[in-house]
Amino acid sequence: MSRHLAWFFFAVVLLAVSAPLQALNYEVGGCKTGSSYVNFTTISAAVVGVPAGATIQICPGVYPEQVTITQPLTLKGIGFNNANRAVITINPNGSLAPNVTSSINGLPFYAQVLVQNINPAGPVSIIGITVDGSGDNAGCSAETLAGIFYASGTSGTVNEVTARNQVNGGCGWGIWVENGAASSQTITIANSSVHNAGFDGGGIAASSVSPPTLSATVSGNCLSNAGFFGIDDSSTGVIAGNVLTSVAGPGIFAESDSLTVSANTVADISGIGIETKGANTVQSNKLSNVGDSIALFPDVAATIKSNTIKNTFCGIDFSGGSSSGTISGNTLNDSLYGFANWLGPNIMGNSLYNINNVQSASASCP
Amino acid sequence: MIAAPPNGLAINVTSITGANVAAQVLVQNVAPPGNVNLTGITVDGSRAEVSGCSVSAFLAGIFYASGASGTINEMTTRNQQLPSCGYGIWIENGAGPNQSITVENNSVHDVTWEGIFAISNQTPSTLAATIKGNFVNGKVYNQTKDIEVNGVSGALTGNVVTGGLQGIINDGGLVTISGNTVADISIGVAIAFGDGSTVTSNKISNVYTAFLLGGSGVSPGPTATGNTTKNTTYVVMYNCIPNVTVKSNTFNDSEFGFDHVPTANSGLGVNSIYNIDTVQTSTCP
Repeated sequence: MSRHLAWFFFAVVLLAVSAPLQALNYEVGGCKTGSSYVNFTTISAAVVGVPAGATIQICPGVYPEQVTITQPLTLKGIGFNNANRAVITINPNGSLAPNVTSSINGLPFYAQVLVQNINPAGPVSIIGITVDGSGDNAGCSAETLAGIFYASGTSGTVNEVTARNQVNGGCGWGIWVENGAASSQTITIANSSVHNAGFDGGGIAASSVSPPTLSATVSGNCLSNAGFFGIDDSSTGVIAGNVLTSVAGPGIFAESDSLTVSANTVADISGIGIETKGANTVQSNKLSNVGDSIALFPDVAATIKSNTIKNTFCGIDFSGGSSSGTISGNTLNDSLYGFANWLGPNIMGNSLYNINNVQSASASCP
Repeated sequence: MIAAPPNGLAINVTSITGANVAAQVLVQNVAPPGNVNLTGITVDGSRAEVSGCSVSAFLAGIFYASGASGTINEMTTRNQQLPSCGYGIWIENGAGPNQSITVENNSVHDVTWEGIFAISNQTPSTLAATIKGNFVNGKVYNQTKDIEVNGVSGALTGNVVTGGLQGIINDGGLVTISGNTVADISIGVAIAFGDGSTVTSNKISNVYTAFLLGGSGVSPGPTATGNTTKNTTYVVMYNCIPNVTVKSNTFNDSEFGFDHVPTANSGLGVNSIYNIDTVQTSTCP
């Protein structure tokens, strides 16, 4: 056998071995073609037509549909030619009936992208997709609108997503994740752009039963004009590195007892910047041009440290309580009230500049 | 708190720009030479009256005149709000020895024209400015520029800039713009002139144009790396100027990505982009 013939047979064997291992690619929208691609015309068809664990590439375009995901997979928006946005919109000819009921508050939701009843168990990741809620005007009496909804028992990651215009007469949320089950779940919401949510809703909700069974990481997101709440979190986990502007407030509402709220930038909020209901840690955040920068529920033993607060009506608001937590290393500059509604002893170890009333037992904070 | 006197403010300094300025706190002709440091004082321009304002005069909360140096730290300047002529903090240096001024951790808001302004009219620059950790809000009066540097060297880092028309502007000089957060504004970071300046690790959101990058067209022009933008109409406007480097940034949620990218030596590298309707728009000759 010649040396060339030997190489030929080796190549044939190699191909025969490798061909069955070659993964198929899954695509929606028609921008990727060829024998290695399985094409779908809708995202809804793709999410039930691919094997568990697959990645579905979504071509730029508009997809007027309601998507329900029930198996572990990745949805990923891709670029093609000069476009790089895949938008899931409300189907003008479709039903606007609720498709899920929250296990936390019992309210009916219309979820544009619904993740629920995942079988087999595994994470669902959504990357680089836009979800636009324009067109759902059913109103608060009918439903709450959510761009993306991870139902109880699900896990995964939402990364570099845009959620916008979830207004619905006021009751709209950009991203809602929850866990009402006893078993723990982990969800990450990162690097996403959330804006123009309903004025009675908010930008991002991470909701859990108490004690929390949801571990949520909410990091690196930007939220603007995101309704009443910017981020409403009753999970255990981290809220870090987000930028929140022009939210009614609270910008960040930390409802549980085991959250770390750190390194966020909160600005241009007439109401509360960061509010903690439990013994959470609020540290190294930057707040400016905020009505009530950091507010604690009465007598909550929260740790409030190393925050920078400027141009505010109330710096740290204790709501008539006397927290036994740590209040230290904060820098306040340019505030009408420094430590407002504080009934405890003097607070030491903070840096104060340009404060009209350093400590007040009764202040009317926004 | 230093407030405006009831009988009005007089012109008390002429800038190296030729402008007449009524400064509420004026630092000039310091003898013997040494630093002047201001810490923890509010300078409020409410009810200030300046004759000729917006035509032949300006109002400034704090003014460091040519030859002065020092640090402005944890101050509040506010309500310098006469129509089109209010400045929060104005620092400058003309001919003579190099000077160094630090503007840090201040709260600057409700001014009508500029929040923080630093200028030198010398080449090479005689003013090294460090502008860091300030909170500048131009929302209420829609001031033209929140932070502007012109002809200075130095760094603008860790500032939070919201509202107004333009966020951080470099009209000339070699500066580093890093770690700032800019939001709710028309133009986030602009480098009109400033070859070799770097724009790094800034967070820009909810703006019309995140970056307006120019320069003289020579290499190296401005460089933007490691920045993140979200919710913008335009990400980068090039204005057809070559040798502007844009690489390793992450852009999410914009109607347009890169506008008027030059056909040669564009400097457009690999960036991570998500949710951009039109990646490149408007061609150059």
